[in-house]
Amino acid sequence: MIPALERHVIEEWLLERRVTRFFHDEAELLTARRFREWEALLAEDLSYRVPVRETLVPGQGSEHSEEMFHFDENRRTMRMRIDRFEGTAAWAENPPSRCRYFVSNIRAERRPDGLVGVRSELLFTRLRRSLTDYEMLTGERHDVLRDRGESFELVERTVLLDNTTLPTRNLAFFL
Amino acid sequence: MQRTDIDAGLADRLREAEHKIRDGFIPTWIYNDPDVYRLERERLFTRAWVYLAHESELPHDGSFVVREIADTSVLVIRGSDGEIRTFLNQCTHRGAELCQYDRGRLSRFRCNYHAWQFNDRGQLIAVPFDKEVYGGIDRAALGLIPLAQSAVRQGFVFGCMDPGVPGIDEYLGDFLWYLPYATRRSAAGLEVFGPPQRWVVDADWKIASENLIADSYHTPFAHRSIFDVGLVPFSPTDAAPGGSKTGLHIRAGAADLAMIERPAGTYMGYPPEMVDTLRSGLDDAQVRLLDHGSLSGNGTFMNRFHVFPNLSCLNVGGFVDDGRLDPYMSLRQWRPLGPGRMEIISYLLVEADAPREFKERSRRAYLVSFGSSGMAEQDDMENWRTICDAGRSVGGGRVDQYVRMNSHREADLVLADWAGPGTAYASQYFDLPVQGFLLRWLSYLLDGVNADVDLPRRVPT
Repeated sequence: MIPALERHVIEEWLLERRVTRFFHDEAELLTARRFREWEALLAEDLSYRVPVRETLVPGQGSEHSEEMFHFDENRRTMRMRIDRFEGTAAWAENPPSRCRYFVSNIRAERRPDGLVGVRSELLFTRLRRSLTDYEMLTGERHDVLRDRGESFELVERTVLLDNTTLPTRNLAFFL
Repeated sequence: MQRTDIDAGLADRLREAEHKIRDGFIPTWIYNDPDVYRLERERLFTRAWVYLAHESELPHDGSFVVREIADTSVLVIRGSDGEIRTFLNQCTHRGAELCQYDRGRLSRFRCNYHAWQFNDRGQLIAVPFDKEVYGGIDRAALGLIPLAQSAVRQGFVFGCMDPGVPGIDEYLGDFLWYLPYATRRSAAGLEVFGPPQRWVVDADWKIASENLIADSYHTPFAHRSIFDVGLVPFSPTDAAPGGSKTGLHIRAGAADLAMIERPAGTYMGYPPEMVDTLRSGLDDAQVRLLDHGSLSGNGTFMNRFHVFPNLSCLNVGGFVDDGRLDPYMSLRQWRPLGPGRMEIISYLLVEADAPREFKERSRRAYLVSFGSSGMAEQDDMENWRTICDAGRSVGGGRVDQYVRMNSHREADLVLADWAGPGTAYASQYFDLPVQGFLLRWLSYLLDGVNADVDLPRRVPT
């Protein structure tokens, strides 16, 4: 019999292992622009946000705005964005960019409500055509996942960027 | 104000460009040229009135934002006396950057270098070892350096680095008559909803300005995807020449503005009572244009404007949730960073006294459509970038762009009996406003302060 304390450690390890695999699979879908399959990972009650960041006087509130965002999406607007990419007139991504998602420092925790809270670090890179300068964004993801047994679905994602002024010409991708 | 020299070769190139622009051609090199950028910094952005902030960003005594006029950092502060002032964001001692935050509230600003301190009215209030090292310093002479002129008009804070140019009212001119259509729709007027999105793109500020001034032509094509996914409340046909979603263009003072038809009882998704509020604050002539100004005699809605040099505003709507039209107003500044490179600073403006739910709907419609991630704006970036890329190349820079849309019937487009100030045109499909913008731009680069710009009257065929 496994002692209770050890069982807790093993469960936590298993959860983080499963969440890590989920993120890696998710990154593969985004990298390969398999947006319809990625969309299937999004919960119906999705909230997807990337707040605008400012440099503020220390002690005068959060630098991540609660009012203005780069993305503030629900499932419906996410579908619109994906419809656009799957259509024939998304010129911003024609030809498509080559994007990479490096997700690390993953810590997962099962919450009292049964959902899984995850914090991770994101390094996002993008190259277009023959350009040699990468567009790059860094930040931390605060995710809430719903455990579906086989896999997870994404209920909430908030990406807290390090960038105030974005070096990206547009955000014709997902973070 | 310093005036930089301009060598004969550069002057000749610009004169040649002027000649071409009058004829309906734009040499592509003007969108990515180091000499042009240098002149823009030193002759244009030092002499034009430039938007800096919205009054609502400065709600309290000591509220400040740091913004830029081209590459010059400007501290905009509301002082303890309630007045909004603008200063170079630089310590008067050794020139270090004074405030390194984007926004906040401070009663005093302390330089990190030698701890000189300034209050929220820009006065020098503390100098360490003042008596010992300076024998008592003349503080009054060493306050922060104010911009030569600054002014607030209907909530917009403008600054100008040249003491010798006419004031803001003369600069904005006839546009002040139209601005209330945007700013007076509720008792409290407009406010910014949160901070602006900011991002950098390898494209010139002029090409972006021209797009917002008068490029209705690109909408059904460059932005077809937003029609395809059902985001906009009309079809590409409506946006085509003669379609119901194109309307009038007006040149008024330092601005260009566009008005589309407003069928009775509608107001771009805004609550109908907003029109009543607006009406009550307008004079009779303004009300007539609001209610009957369109070509068909229907009402009008000002859906965009551009203030020279680099401030644009787009006020439209999208179907985002529940099949409901949600309006949004995006104010954006195209800040030059270098040849063929700019920072975009894009705000959402909302009526300050609107319900929270309305503001959030407006935000969602804006984010899906415009701004850093907007489905329409995404495509503009790529188009603008390739033009500016070409402008830098030996071959591409020499290509003369073709801007003669409807120049064969310019005279016919003028609305002779237009009841408002400025000049109104019966189309949004013509290139004359772009020519006018560039001629105004050239007048700053080439010589003295611009007065009335002589627009091309007829294009030789």
